[in-house]
Amino acid sequence: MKLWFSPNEPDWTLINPALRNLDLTYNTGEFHTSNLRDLTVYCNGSITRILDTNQAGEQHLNFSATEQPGAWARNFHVPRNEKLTLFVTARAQDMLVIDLEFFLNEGSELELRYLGNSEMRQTHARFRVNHCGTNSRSDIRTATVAHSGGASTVIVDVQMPAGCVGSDSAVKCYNWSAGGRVGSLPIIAVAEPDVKASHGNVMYAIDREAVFLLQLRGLDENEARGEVLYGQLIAGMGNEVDLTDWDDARECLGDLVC
Amino acid sequence: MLEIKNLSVQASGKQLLDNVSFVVNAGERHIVMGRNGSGKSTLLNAIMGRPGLTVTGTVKFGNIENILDLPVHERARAGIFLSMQSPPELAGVGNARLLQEGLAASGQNIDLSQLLPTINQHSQALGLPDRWAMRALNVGASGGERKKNELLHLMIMNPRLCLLDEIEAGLDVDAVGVVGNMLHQLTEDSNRSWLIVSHAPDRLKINPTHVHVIDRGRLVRSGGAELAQQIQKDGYETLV
Repeated sequence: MKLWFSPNEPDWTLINPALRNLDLTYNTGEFHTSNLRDLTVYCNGSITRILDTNQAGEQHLNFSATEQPGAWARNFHVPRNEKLTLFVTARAQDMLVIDLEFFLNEGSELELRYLGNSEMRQTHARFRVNHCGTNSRSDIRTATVAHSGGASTVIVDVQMPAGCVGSDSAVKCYNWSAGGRVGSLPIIAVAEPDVKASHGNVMYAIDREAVFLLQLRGLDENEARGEVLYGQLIAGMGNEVDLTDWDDARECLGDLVC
Repeated sequence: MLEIKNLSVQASGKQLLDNVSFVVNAGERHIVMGRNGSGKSTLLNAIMGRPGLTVTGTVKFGNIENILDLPVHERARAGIFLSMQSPPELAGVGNARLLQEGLAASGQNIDLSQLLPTINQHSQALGLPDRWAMRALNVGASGGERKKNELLHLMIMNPRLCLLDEIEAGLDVDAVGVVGNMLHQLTEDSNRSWLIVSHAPDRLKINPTHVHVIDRGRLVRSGGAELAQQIQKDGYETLV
């Protein structure tokens, strides 16, 4: 899957999914990616920052990985008065456990979005936010797991001590964006015309006309189906497809595209 | 360039095309006319391999003996472009990226930084909204914009053979003018061949070299530009 971003946009902007088989193991040696096909992390306007930072072994964005197959975890320490903007898209074939922990300091902010793929049997995504300072705040825009079959859970656990901006210790209040949400997005791909399928509340059938159109532009059937399915997934998340600063985006992603 | 021999098409047990044969040479502009439901779109879809059609006969394209043996994407990569009659919308897939991937699939690896100005230029010429290249494919687009977008894709993909399925349908008067002017320029390219399904080729400002009339799945008449004029004057009644 290839993800294009517009770093200068005030909000997340997802452009086009097509980056495939991104392997981050060569960057750090810290990730356990035996079951992780793709991973893209976009942080603070530059996807390279997080990697460069990691490669240099320095500073405030501190990565860690578990040894558990198909799972990875990271700790993010957001410095004082800085804003961490994190977009994660993870693709795995079977099961993936994602455990992200954030440590926010005084004046720091967090924006978070997660997108899983539809092929995972089971996905658990947990976002833990710890507030180290007294004036930090989290702004969790979207935490969504897409799935087909199996079980998927999203846990957002924000620990916010009394005194933080927007905190309400009694109800564990999250500072949601206006369109913020957390939930599980079911994706059911129906490839045969005579098959009927249903799900609790949402069902997508692959748009055969869209697949045909992409084939007409030269994509093979599998590529076309993947694009259509992922596009439906993106649409389900309410993203806007746009590209406002493709030069920066390309620069950011250029080194990552295998 | 394109040699259609004994092309027959069935779908759901119904005969849609019956033994159609004709040849489109390089630089020729063929118009296919006929009543609604006569099999015109089926002809184009059969050439491109739309799923759900049972096709017999042969279609030779360039050095490829029978493109009917190829999957859809390989027909496209070989240089055949179909402009759909009702292009669907596709969220999550941007125009520019799709075009770049389509070109790459055909062996033309063009950096997006080089491609984007060209797309923007053509988009402007077609009267499409600003930042059209960045938008998801046909999402929120009107019927006319979708047709213009098909033409935009054609201009970028630069195919050897263009199949247009009623590209004028859904366009308002002004849009027909814009598309017509663009098509007039494009169809003057002698290296490219055209097979165009249209009810009103004159509105598209195309000077056809050949006109074919299909009725109830059969090719009933072929002629020159005068045949299109006769149809538009007298209708199909006297021809079929």
